[in-house]
Amino acid sequence: MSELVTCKDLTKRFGNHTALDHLNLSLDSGKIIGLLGPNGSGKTTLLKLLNGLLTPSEGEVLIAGNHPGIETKRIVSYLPDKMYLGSWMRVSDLLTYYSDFFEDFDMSRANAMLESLKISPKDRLKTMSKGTKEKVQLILTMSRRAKLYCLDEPIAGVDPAARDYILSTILNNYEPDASILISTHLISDVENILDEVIFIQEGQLKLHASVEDIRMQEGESIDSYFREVFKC
Amino acid sequence: MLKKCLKHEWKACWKNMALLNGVAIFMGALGGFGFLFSHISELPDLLIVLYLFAYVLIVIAASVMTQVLMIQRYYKNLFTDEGYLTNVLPVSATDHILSKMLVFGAWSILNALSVLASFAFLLLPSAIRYFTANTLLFYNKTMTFSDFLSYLWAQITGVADAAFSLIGITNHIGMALFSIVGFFASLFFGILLFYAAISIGSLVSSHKILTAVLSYIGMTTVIQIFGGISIVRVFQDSTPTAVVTTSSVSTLIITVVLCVVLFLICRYILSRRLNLS
Repeated sequence: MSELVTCKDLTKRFGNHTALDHLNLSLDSGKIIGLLGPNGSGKTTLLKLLNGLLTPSEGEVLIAGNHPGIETKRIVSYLPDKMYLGSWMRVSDLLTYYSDFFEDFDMSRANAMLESLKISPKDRLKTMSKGTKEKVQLILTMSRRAKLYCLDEPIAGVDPAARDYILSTILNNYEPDASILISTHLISDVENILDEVIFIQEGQLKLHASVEDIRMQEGESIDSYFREVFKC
Repeated sequence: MLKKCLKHEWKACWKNMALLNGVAIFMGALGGFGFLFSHISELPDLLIVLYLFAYVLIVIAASVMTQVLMIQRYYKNLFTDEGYLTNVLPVSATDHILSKMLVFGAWSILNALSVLASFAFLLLPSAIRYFTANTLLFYNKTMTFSDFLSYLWAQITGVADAAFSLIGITNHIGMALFSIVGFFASLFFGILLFYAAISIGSLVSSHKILTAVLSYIGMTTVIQIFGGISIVRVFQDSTPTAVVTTSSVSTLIITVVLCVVLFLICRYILSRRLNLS
């Protein structure tokens, strides 16, 4: 296992508000990591910084030794918590778009997942429900053979039955040497697939530990432990 | 990657653009062939007035909307939710800006050609009918339609020649090349001014569009003032040839320099100061 992500004193301010406050963090490859924290704790900000969508106010973030840029974008697959697809597009247009720009995009994997979820490549995005669009976005993200997957609330907008499929999709579609960073509030749904968890509060790192250690030391599930740590 | 960016940029824009400009051409053809196969005197005045009103409106709308949609494309694709995909592509900021600028430029030219084609469709059928039904007596000579077109072309080139010799320009090929370069420089300058204003607007956390509009007005004002001063200085030169050549060359140089500056502003913001809210 090698160090995949390094954050050194990473700080992001929006006006007077500090979203991330001198965060120091390192993540190894080959792990599924839960990025957990209450609303406004800085989870989305961290994922956006990793993907070069925000510029740090202070400090730096490195992915495989590089600052976010063309090199890192080749190896990071990002699922934002927004609908980012042009509504004029068909699913087939998106498949072409992804395969044109991402060398690691696996078309056969994408088609297999679309077929499992009964989504036709001819379907237009503007005729789809919000949940179906989210599934399409997840399929596109997970069809890349990336080194790092950043998933921001991947199961928040879909029904419980689809959640199981999505989680198994995530589990079955990443390379052994890749890492997945999942930000979510639905801890009980994902905790069985996590190797590590990161707790963030008010932009600062509260905890970074393995799931196994927390269960052994605290004698409770991650969901219960989260509720205890972030009790209002 | 530029080739792929161009391909997808074109794909994203062409349907709306083709529809807009296609409607402008269709309206011209509708009027032209309508007038060809009927006598204007037989058509109700209200119908003609309504058609001409709709025609002018559609031609203006096609031109304005071409610009508006292409400006909106830059903003939406890079600085709104769509930017969450566009900005995570392994593509340089240079390729993003260049592809958008080239497609915008291509549609600006195609829009101008569409408007010309629309006018031609509107006027040519009636003109051809006129010439086939009548012989035109011009300076006591009978002219066919092709004679008339040749005459028109000769007049245009004659006026251009006279203007060039008046200001002492003899190298027409050089002048033509200079005009082409000047045309593209001013086309891309206009586009990059919009892009730079939108990029500057993205730097603030709220009122991004208002900031973009104010930046556009501010940059335009500053450029007009400095451009005006440099032209006034050139006019202190005495001979007409020197005035025209010096002002044209200096305008072209200033335009090219400004294109580079505006491009660098866009690239810097996109690659170093991106903050998607």
